[in-house]
Amino acid sequence: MKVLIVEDNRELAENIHGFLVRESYICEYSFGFKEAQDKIISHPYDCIILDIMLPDGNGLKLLEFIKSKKIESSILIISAKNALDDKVNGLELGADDYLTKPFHLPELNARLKAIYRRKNLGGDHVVRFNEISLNTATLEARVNEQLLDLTKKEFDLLLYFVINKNRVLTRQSIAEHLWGDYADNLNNFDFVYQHVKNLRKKINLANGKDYLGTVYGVGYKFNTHIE
Amino acid sequence: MKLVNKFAAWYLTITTLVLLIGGVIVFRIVVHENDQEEVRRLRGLMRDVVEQLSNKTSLHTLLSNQVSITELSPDVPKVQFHVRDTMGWHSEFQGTERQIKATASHKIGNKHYLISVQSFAPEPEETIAGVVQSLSWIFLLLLLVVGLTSILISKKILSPFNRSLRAMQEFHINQKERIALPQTKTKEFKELNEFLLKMTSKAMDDYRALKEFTENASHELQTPLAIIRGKLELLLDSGISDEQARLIMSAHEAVEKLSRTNQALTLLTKLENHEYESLKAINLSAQLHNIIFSLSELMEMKSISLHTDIEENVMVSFHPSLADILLMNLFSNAIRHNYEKGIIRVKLNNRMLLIQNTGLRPEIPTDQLFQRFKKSNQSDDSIGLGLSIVKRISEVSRFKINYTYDEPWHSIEIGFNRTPQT
Repeated sequence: MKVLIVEDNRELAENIHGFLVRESYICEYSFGFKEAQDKIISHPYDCIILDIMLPDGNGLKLLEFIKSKKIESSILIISAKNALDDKVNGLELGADDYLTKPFHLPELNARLKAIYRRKNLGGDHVVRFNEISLNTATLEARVNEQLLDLTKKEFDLLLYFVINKNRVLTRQSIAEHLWGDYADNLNNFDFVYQHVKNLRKKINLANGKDYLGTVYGVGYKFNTHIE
Repeated sequence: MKLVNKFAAWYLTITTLVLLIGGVIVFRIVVHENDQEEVRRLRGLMRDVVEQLSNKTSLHTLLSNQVSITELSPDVPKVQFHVRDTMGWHSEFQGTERQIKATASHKIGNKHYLISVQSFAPEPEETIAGVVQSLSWIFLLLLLVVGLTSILISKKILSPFNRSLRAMQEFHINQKERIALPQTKTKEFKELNEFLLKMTSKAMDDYRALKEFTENASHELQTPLAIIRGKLELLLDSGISDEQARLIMSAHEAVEKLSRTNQALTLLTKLENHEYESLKAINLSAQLHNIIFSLSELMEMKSISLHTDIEENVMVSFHPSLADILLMNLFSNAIRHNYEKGIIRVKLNNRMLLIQNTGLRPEIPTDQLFQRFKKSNQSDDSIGLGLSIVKRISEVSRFKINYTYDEPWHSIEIGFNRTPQT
């Protein structure tokens, strides 16, 4: 997947880049409106990560430009302005998703993958890893072709793990992924622990391997390198 | 009281006073002038009598009910001319009437006569009645004229003032255009309008600047926070020891808290700037059900039982985002500060929202908990802005909020002022 990061802050762009290259994405940056415009015209991208506040223009204008040129890249808006207006305007102009800064990098990854799945896989909504398969359209999770009885949250959690495999996922990041803005108000993460525990149990019951590792005091990790 | 009415009231009070004092003066002058005239006439009459006596006219022919003459001994000292107010019998009216009596003694030839002349005079009561009557008519006339003119004045002279007033009432700090004030030729109103224009423009500019600052501060702080957060997350993924991971995690949590504090403060500032104004009525019942649904899992985990008494389709004019934040804050507080196996009670109707939860006695008075960074339990991990936000939202939305503690119940009641019905 080829991604263009349009973000005026170099450090932030590098963070995103650093995270995404490990997912074997092809990543490019541009730090301004003009530069981004040039790149978008000359190269096709699967996805454009777009900041609203750019030094030489408004990201929403760039979005309009992309749509007017009928460029088919998916667009994910990232903005510190959590003003409702930006979100509504952005989505109305045809952005695929919206993420408020600051965000967790695994969350960005999950959103990108979701957009990619929706647009590019031609109806194949299944995410697979070894014996695990997740159908994002029907919300069915299977281990060894055996259907798991998962709640919506547990399904989301498993998908989040599979997409961010071999990454340390902090409890906050998981909480925010599952509960969105509600997580802000909850400062104990017992419920994350509870969900992970249930999920692990259900996978074990279906004779799945125990990929879910605990990083003590930090969070969890979906380990693919287990024997 | 309207300005015009105030003017009229003062004017009428002063008029009444002047008329009262004037009435007394008029009465005095009328009585005095009357009496003077009478005295002058009596003096003339006396002169006639004396003259006729000198002409040896018979004393008896001179006597009448106006004139009485007594002879005095020539040794008695002469009586000077003096006037007395008395009462006398009026044969025609068959009653006593006020009389003015002038008395003097005159020595004519070798005789000494004491001469009294008298005449009836109008009584002061009659004069008073006349004065009061005429003044009442004047007063009535004034009342009518003042009433009419005050309406005209209000329409004409005060109209630019009233229009300016209306323009000010309609003024909204976050409106885009400057206010339009009526043209006027009155100097004071001109000055007032200039002042209003200056102040409102300044207020609008300040407001815009503050709003910009808030937005910038939020953006400028969130960006570095996002960078730190991202770097820490990358570091977590870089094959480090568990000990290092925990250190990074602590830093990460602090950044997280900073970020949340910043967001909460930004929200508070926005609330104080009245950036969320909504006159739309929302279905609070539906929103409440949503919140309860999304938090039901958390309540289950803490084995909290929920008792609801929610009227359906309660419509309240409320900004939907604020409603969400308010309900969320109240509920997460009710869960967070609850016991294991505690109880939460929710009641919603057209008048109010009541959320009660079991919990420990707060360490500080409940009303102080609305202040920023005030927490009942200082070691608590929360940032201590939740209730400030709740309070501010209530104020912005013109709700009454009340927090009480009655062992073991924490109750927060939000009274809606004006609830449009569906």
